[in-house]
Amino acid sequence: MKTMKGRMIRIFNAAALCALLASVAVAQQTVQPATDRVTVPFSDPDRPGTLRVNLLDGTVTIKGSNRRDVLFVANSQDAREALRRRQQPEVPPGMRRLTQPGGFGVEERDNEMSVSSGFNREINLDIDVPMRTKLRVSIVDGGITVDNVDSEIEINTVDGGITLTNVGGSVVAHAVDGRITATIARVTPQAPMAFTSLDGDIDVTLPAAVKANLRLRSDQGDVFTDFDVQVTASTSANRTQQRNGRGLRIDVNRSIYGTVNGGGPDFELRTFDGNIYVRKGK
Amino acid sequence: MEHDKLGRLLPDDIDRREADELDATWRMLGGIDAPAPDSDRMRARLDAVIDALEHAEPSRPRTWFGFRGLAGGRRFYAVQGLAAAAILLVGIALGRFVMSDRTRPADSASEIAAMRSEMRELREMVSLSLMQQQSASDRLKGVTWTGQLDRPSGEVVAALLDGLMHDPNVNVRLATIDALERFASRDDVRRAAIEAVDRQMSPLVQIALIDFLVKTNERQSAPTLRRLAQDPRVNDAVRSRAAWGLQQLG
Repeated sequence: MKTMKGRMIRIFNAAALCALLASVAVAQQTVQPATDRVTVPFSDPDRPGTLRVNLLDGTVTIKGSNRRDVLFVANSQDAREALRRRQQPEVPPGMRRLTQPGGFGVEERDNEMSVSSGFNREINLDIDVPMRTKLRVSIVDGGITVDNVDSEIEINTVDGGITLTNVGGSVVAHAVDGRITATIARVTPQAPMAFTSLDGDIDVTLPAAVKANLRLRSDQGDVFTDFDVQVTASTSANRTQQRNGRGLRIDVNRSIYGTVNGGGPDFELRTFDGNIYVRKGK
Repeated sequence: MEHDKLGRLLPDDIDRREADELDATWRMLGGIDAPAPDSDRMRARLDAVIDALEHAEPSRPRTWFGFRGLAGGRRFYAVQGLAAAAILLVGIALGRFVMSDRTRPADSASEIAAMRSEMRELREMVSLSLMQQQSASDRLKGVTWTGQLDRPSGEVVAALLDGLMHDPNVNVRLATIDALERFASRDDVRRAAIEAVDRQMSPLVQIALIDFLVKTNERQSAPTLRRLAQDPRVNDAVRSRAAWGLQQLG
């Protein structure tokens, strides 16, 4: 009788444990963000491919690694939070709201991959790419972060910041209303770069040995650097003079033209209402 | 390496400027990357070009826009062809130059003049083909190099204006405004700047264009600037810059 009781307790305990584990698993399922994961191969992985991203609303994080294909992860948790932030209808009695997948499309053709999202839907994408992938990213309302990509990087945002860390190659970036922060570890020789913003600071760290012609301009802010910039053509390149019927007009613009380490391709850093920082990296 | 060899090949009494030009051209040629294969837009252009070729008369003169269409459609082959033609031209020019200097030293002035002209065309061709590349960094390079061209042709101005109006990248459009400053005495350039300031979607480009119009004292732009300054839909910074521009133009 005693052994029977003991066995019953053990069975009960095991059942309770199973129930507990199951409930934890269910709880985890509900707590863990549901993610949409898609892996897309390039048609010729031996050549550097191109990734185009065009989003209206969302954030994108792109990381370079040694992989040969591209992994897209759309984070529904973020999307759900975004949903909370916007006006949403009341949940009818007895019903619950289901989380919709992020909703995005990927198309690959001739080693070029294009990503787009559904209209009027915020999407938050984490993308892992081969390190040499060329990037052409355009986001209207949202920020972008790129890490460890060594290629041609072109980024445009309207209302969002641009953050580049440990990137190489060449960068052409523009943010209408956002800060641009870039740490460039390696530069492609003879490749021009440009970082421009209307309303944000531009903070660029370049390799200490970089050879470049700098064109720096902030209309309503200041320019800072710890590079030894040899200011060139300060009297001719940014001064124009014009004779007209009324006499002579001389305009001196606020651009600073200078070379670092003897000069090289043009790097333009321009902002209308922000500061410019050109930092010397390691 | 080729330009080092070239330096050694040149006779001692040659003008160093010629050697520098050759050197710069070699560097330019070395800087052209093989472009990536086409996108949807390029494929559409290719289809359009094939369609046009099927229906066009055989001896139609080539315009800049025709050139652009061809380069856009078969960009890979067009740029390869251009690069091959450029290298051939350099070879011919160099051969003629070196041989003429050795065999007929007294008669080299016209040869040098001819070579200069060929060099100029070659450098222009390199700049124009760079402006057609898919990479914004390459297009920036092409736009910047037009600043080094000695007596650029109308084709260069047309390409810069085309870039100002249609280039998809804001930074390339900004660079074309800087590059167009040397052509500010041309009516068509100033007219295009007025048209562009109205059509541009990028506030930074609009501000740069307003500065350009003020610098060139283009009074024809006053009605456009007035409209911008009063339009509530226009970006605030652009509106205040347009108001400032109006004040400057008096």
